[in-house]
Formats: sequence, structure tokens, C-alpha cells
Amino acid sequence: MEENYRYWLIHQKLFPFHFLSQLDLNRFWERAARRGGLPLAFSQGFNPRPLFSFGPATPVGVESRVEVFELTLTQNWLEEEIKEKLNREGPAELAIQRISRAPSNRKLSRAIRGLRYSFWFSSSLADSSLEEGLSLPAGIEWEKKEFLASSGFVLSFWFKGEKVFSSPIKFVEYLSSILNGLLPEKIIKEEVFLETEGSKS
Amino acid sequence: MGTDPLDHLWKNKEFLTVRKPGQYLGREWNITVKTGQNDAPALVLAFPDIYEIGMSYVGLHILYQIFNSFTGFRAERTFLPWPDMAEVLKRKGIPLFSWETKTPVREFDVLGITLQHELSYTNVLYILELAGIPFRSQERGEGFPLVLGGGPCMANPEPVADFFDCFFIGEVEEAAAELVHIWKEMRGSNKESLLKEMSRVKGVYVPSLYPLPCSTSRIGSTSSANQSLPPVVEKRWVKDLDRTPYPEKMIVPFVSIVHDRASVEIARGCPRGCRFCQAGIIYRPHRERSSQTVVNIAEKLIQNTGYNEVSLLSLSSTDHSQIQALVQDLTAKMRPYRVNVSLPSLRMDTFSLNVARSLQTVRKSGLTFAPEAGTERMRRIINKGLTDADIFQTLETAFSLGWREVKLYFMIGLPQEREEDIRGIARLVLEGIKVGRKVGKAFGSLHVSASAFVPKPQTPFQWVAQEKPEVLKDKVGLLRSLLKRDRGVRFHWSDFETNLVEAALARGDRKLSKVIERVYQGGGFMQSWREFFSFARWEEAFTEEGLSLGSYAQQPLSISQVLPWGHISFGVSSDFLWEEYQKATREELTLPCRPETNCKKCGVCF
Repeated sequence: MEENYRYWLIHQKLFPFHFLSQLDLNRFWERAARRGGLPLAFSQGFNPRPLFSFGPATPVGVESRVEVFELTLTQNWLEEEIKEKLNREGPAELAIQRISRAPSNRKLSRAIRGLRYSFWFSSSLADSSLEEGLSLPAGIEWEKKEFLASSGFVLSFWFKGEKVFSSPIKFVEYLSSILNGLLPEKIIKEEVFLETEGSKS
Repeated sequence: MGTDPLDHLWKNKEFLTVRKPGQYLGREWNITVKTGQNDAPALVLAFPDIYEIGMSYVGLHILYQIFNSFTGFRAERTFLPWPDMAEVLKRKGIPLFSWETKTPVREFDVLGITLQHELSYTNVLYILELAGIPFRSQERGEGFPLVLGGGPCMANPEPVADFFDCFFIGEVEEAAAELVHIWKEMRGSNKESLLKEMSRVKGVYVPSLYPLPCSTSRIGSTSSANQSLPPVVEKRWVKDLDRTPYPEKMIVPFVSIVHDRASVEIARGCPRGCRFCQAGIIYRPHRERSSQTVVNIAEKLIQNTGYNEVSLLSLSSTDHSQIQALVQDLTAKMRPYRVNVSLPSLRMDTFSLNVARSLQTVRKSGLTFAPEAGTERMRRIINKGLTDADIFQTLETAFSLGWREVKLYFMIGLPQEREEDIRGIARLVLEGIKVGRKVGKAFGSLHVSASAFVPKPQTPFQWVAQEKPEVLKDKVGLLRSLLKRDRGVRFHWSDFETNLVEAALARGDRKLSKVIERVYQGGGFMQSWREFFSFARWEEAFTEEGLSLGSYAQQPLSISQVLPWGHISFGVSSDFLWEEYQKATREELTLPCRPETNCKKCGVCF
């Protein structure tokens, strides 16, 4: 069997492409890679598929700056070259931000230890010491509160451990209940904590 | 990319609740946006069904490419929104827009709507309503787009004639330059003079110049009121398919669509001449793209789209004279890309099966064939010509090679059908299962699918009455009871009520525009979707207009009658069609058309 080269890529998924589903994105990257002439590695067996592996799906309607996937090539390409080729084959709103070689002993799905989501509200926050009274579900941690110039505010939380697979849309129900029914205008996946990188990215 | 004029819509919470919101965004890969040319004359190509159906139709990609190939002219797309999205648009007061620049459809110079089947007729009105355009050509003064129709339903455009300003009959590739020239030169002219100019282009039919004469007959005929116009509008067609441009930069959707793959049209037309088949007549003559051209197009398509599958399109794949070489060259070329080659439209013979086998990537799960009828006699009547031996041999080969399931399509209610022909279907199927059990290591089942025969204009069976619903019901009942005896059969009967409406509309005249409008006003849009179709609504609408659905569908027409579509010609002579019909009654076969050696003098080539 020929030697394969694995890469981890982080791309954004910004408005209005946050209306695409995870399956739409999977297809998009496979096609972009083929258009870009990347030497894709394929699975064995009767119906070979290119070896892609995607991080936890971001729900339709949620934007992201840190969508993660793994790509496997049959040739040793430079990271920058891959990034450049892929970014030529898609819209800026889906552009690859960073790329690194995957650590040899780690699966992507196991490496994602935390995701930070921000929830954007357009009205003003009545209770300024909101964070003190929060009783957050296990695995979800308070990060920060920011006030926007336009009277709105942004709350952000880390989803850790098993909670990286939990939908931020479900969490909106909880937030709404402590904010007297306020609903966020938008949700953005802001940061990912990949364990091998050694620090928060 | 500038700001999207519909940003406020995408940011609206209601938009997030619609089904597959990603389909409405535009911005797919390979779209053409002519920046800085927003004032150029423009055509919007409308597909009267939802995005995932419309984008699967290769004709749309062909039209898009041709009309965008002209400088100083732009072509964009629009589709029907799913009803949930249509509601959002109506509530927000947002008129139907083009996918590329989000320009309201109403603001285009020309609105081109392709008509693929009769059940899409009410969707024409759905598009017009969502776009804010009056339904009838007569009600549209200046300042609205010219509404142009095209597609296979041009075999008889009369039922929708009042909704359109003009139609284009046949293949537009060569005429596009003439049309665009007129649209550019005559921009700002009044509609009447524009239509007059367009009517001089061969292939263009302006129904208002061919008004309905006073007629007491049920089916009225039309005749040209204008002496300078030809009494019959002839279709356009391209002589050399190999040199006809093909979209090598097909648009790649983000959301999944029905046919999510690259497609290359390897041939147009069909040499077989099955007597029920409208496509077999209206796309005559049979023309091919050379193997070399197909391989070149396929490679460029894969490089430009990134698709993992390329499908070879034609009415009958294995009638391509170079099919074996083509498949061999193409699979070799596609191997390094890891791209699958698929070959639909297989004839049920061992030659076709062997060609399919040479595609190493063909999955052994399913194979589809259309024997159409149950007995050799019936297959001679419809000029299908397959023998029972062909069918069993193909099944034996397929099952012994490891295919688990085979799908067979049949029609019920064909002309001169007898009980023995229905029993014949059951016999074929039950024998086929025995073959499968004997030779197939992994035999699963035979899927049998049947629908009611619909007499179509421009075919040898255009004069034939559709079978009455009571008789169809009995025949299906008989077939069902005969097939029940074996558990290896899965029988699927498509509800024949839609086939009745199809027949009435297919053979209809200009009076039916009122019926179509009535059905639409009563909520009858998206009629090809089971959840929206209502037969009762159609029956009532016919009755309320003082017409009868049954008599449009179930009355035979005579040779002496002027047909509602008599002034539209696809090049095949009426004499040829009548002679083919007579041969059907004598159960005689007509061999496939081979222009050099075996010309059938149908008339299209001359």
C-alpha cells in the first residue's frame, strides 16, 4: 500500500453559506479538491470514497470560523500549496484559514476537545451580572460577555468533552430561559481546541 | 462579490425555517455573473419546478451556456420556490428573483420557460404570479418581459398558448444568435413589432398571429391570419451535433439535487421509432457526438466541476454507433480521476448489458429495463420489437452475473391491447423470476412498474383514444392478482389519474387555458407532486368550463380532422405518422432508421 499524507484543515463557513448543511459541505470539499487537482487518497473496497473526515457538524443557520476536516493525499504536498489550490475552488466565505499536518497517532474526531460559540443578541442586557447566577450544564463553560456599540451584547461559552457534539441551538433554549425569552440574532462557532496543537487555537 | 440585494431576506428568521434554504442562494460554482453589465438586455431561464429538479435537467445548462456566450447579453436562472418559501416571499412582498443577481424576474427583457411535461402547466401561472406578471399575453401591455416557451411540450403548445407571447419549436442552439440580435436591436420597441420581427425567425411560433378560427368542432384548429406567415411552423434542429457547443463548465450546486453528477449528451434523437414515444419523433433525426468529442467534454467537465460521476445521456445509449469504443476510452480516461461512468437508457438486449458490464464501476444492485409490453405481438404494435427470448436472455445474463434486482417498466392501455397482453406481462415477470432463482446466486426481486399509456401529439398514436379509466382499473386489478402469486415481485402502479390529465392536456386545444387557470386558482400548483395533485380539481375545472376531460383524453381523432397541433411540425410528415399507425394495426415492425442504408422517408432530413 502506498504511503498517505494526512492534513487537518480549518475553514470558515460564513453568511450566507451557513445555510448549507454538513452534507453539502462534504460534497463541496470533495469536488473542490478534485477541481484543484489534489492527489486524493481513496478508501479500499468495492466503492472507493476519498478519505475525508469531518469534525462535528455545525447546524444549518450557525456560522463558523473554525470548521475542521481531515484530508488524505497520496503525495506529500506543502500545506500552503493545498490551501491555495482549495481556496481557488470556492467562495471566500468558505475559505481555508489554516492547515497543518495531522499527528500520526491521532484521529480528528478524538482531538477536538472544545468549541467556543458566541451568541449575538441585538437588545440591551438588563442583568449586568448575568454570569454569576448561571447554572450551566456539565461540559459547558462561561467564557465572556461583550457589549456591542449598537446596544447589543454577545455571550460566549466553551462546549467541552462530550459537549462538542451538542448543538448550540439546543443551548439557546436554556439561554433564552434566563434572558426572559430573548433569542440570539446569530450564533458563531468562534474557536476550536484541538488537543495536538498544545494550546487553544 | 457586491452586497446581495436580498440580504434582508436571508437574515430574516422565517427564511431559516424553509426546507433546504441553501437552494435559494445562487452563488454556485461556475455560474456566470456579468459584472458591470446589469443594464445589458437579459433573459431569465425559468424552470417550472423546484431547484433540485430544474438543476438536474441538462437542457437548462445548455441554454444557460449558449445565451451567456453573447457579449452584451446575459442569461440568469430562476426556479419555483417550494410552497413554504413561496409563502415567505408573498408575505414579505418579495417578487420572484433570478438566482444570479437577485433581479426581479419582472425586470428581465425575456422570461423563457421550458415545458417538460403537461403537469407543469399550472406552474407557469405560479411563476407568473410570484413574479408579479399578468397571466395572459393579452393582459400584458408594454413593460413586462416577453414570455417565451420551449421544450418538448412544443409538440402541442395550444393549451398554454394564451399565457405565452411566443414559443420556440425545436433546438435553439443555432437560432439563439438570431433571437439575441433581435432582442438587442429592438430593445424598447413595442411588443407587437417585436413579436412580428421574431415570427420571421424559423422555429418561432407567435400564437396571437395564428388566432383560433370559429369552430364548432370539439377540437378547434388554428390557421395563420397573416398571409406572410407560414401556415405551419417548422422546428429548428442542429445538423452536426459533434460541432454543437456543450456546457463544459456545468454549474455545480451546493445542495443535493436529483441527478447530482456531470452529464454528457452522447446522442440526440433515437433511431428506433417506438410508436408511443414522443421523444423518438420530436428529436429526430438521430445524431451522435463522436467518441473523441465525448471523452474530451467529459474530461473538461470533471476538471471544471469536480463531480465523481459522469453520465452518458441519450434516448438509447447502445444505439450510438461507437458505443463500445466510447465506453472503453472514457473509462480509461476517467480511471485516474476515480470517476464513475454511468450509462442509463439501456435497451433490454445482451449487447447493451455487455456494454454496461464493461463499466467496471457499475454497481450490481439494480438494473432497469423497459420492455413496455407483455407479448411479442404488442411489442410489434408499438414497434419496440424485443422478443421474449431477448428479454429472458438478458435477465439470465444479468442474474448470473450477480445483479440482485432488476426493474421492469410496462405500459397498460396500449392500442389494440387484449387480456392476453396483460397476462403476458405477468407471464414475463413470473418466468423472469424463475430464471433469477435458477441462475442468480444473490437473486433478490423483480420490480415491476406500470403506468397508463398516454397518446401524445406528433406520434403515430396521436389519433388513438386513451383507455377508459374503468377498463384501466380492471386491467391493473388483473395484473395485480396475477403477480400476487409470487413473493419475488414488487409491483408498483403509478396512479393513472395523472395519466388521464396528461392525455387531456397533451391533446388539448387553446380552450384549455381556462381550465388550467381555474385549476391553478383552486390551488392546483406543483401537480407532478403527489401531495399537491388532485384529480377532482381537474375534472371540476373541465366541467365548469363546459368541457370534458374524458372526451379530450378518450376520444379517437380521425385522419380527416385538423389537429390542434396541426400547424406545428417537427419535420416528420403526417403521412409517415399515419402510415406507422396503420402498420401498428397490422402488427408490422418498422426497422430502425439508418439514413444511408435504410431511410424511412419520415421527412425530417429533407
